[in-house]
Amino acid sequence: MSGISALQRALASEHAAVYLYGVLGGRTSRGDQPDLAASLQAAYDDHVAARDALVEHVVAAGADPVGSAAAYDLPHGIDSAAGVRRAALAIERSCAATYLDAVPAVAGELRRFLVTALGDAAVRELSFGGGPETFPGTKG
Amino acid sequence: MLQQSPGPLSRRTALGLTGLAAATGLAGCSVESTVDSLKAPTPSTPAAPGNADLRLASRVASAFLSADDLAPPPFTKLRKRQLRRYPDTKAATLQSGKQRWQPLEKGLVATFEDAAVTARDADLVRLFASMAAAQRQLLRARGLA
Repeated sequence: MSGISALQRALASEHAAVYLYGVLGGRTSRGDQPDLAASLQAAYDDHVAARDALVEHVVAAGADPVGSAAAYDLPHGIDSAAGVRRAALAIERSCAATYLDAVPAVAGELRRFLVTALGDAAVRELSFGGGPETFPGTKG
Repeated sequence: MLQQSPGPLSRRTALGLTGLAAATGLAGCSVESTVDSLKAPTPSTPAAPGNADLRLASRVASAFLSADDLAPPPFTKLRKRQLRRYPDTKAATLQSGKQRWQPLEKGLVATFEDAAVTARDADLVRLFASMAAAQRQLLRARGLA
């Protein structure tokens, strides 16, 4: 996988995360589920920041950043708080896997950015019911 | 900086790091299958690509094995799972265990992250990157970060 391809895949993953967190946040009541709502908002903000940073990196590398899809398939079962948590956890695990796959394709500070993003996703998993893993970003 | 992924390691560490990545469950991650016996380059010869990674792996091993002396079970168990086939660490230089364990554990995040940035072999890069993420997760889960 080339460096550009790796960055574009990470960007595509962040586009999806931003979209889906927007949906999940819209289905979560701040009054009934304040902690979950706060976690979703924090995650949304993190993914927006990561998306914007990746756009800058792709542009700096001389490529056109991949755009977001018009819509994404919504996870099933997000009509309950538990379902929203499961969906959010799945988003973070997917992002972590994407970042882990992308990390070796770039070098220097760009690689450090991806390593940090992987760790960020792994930490966010904890907010949505995930537990410490032996190898975040993998199925192991 | 963008780059293509480098090729696999071609040498085996004398430190017995052969199981470093093989047991991790990382996709396609197998130092065991890609590392062959180590020969130090002569001073006038540029280091072979694998040697730098092997030295790096040794330094990282020294760091986390030193931390094991003081760390509480969740951290030692994590590393045991990560390195359960790590066969021989006798050549790693262990540091004196006179520090508090929390700074050591927090410091390992940077150690793993730096190693991920520095390593050349793609499998080792992923290994270190994932170990850094695991360390951050556990620190956060225990309220330490």
